[in-house]
Amino acid sequence: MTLPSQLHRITMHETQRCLVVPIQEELSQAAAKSIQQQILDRVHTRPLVGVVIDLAGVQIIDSALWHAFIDTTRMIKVMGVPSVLTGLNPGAVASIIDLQLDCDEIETAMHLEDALTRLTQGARTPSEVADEPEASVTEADQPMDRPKGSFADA
Amino acid sequence: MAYAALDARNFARGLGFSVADQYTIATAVSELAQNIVKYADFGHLTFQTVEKGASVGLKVVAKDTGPGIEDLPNAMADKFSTGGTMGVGLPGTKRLMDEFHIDSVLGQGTQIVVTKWR
Repeated sequence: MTLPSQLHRITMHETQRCLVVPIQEELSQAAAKSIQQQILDRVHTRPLVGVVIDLAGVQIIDSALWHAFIDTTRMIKVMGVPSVLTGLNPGAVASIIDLQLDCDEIETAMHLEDALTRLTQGARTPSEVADEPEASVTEADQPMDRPKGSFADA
Repeated sequence: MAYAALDARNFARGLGFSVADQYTIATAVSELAQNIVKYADFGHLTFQTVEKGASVGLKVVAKDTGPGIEDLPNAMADKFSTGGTMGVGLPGTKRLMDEFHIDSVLGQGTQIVVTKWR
């Protein structure tokens, strides 16, 4: 059973040559697929330097949905465009950790601004980049602390 | 699956669970629903209120009439899967909830009962 989302349309914005995709509601797998397709179409047709997927509105992240997002970021990467996930809330992060979902290859930032800074810095010319070490990205951006007393061990 | 997760969230909210717990329960239910859809032809999820002394809990029963799980210890081990996925469903669900019981009979089906205490 999935939500009727074959025509799931989302509003995407472009700023500083980055595509910003705000996700405002809980998603079914079908909706995630639909969003994936819309993002890929934009990456294909627009001269973008990065994609930001903002998950602030998503509270329920299960393994299937997480993999859908990982797949999306992988596909974008194969198309030559880096991406950053933002807005992961503590509940979603606790689920991701409890489910031991793979977050090694995914770039995250707490805020849209941080993500845009990271993506637009990466888009400088090679000579500019050569002068400076690459902007380092750490897992420390993710709030790993669980809400107190909320996630007792089974 | 999304409906099941949102139903679970609403049920948990009605019982007065914290927002974080509501979504933890919803995520667990979503994983259980996925297992039913992935491995079994037919199954159902039920939510119940349980009480033990002064504490109130939410019990979820996920019952299917699928093929059953052949190797239960392995299915409960991390990174084990016969369904072509990452195999995080069962142990992950166990970590999300407070109690976890699984019964599986080959050829008859699987019943998973999980509880979260408020």
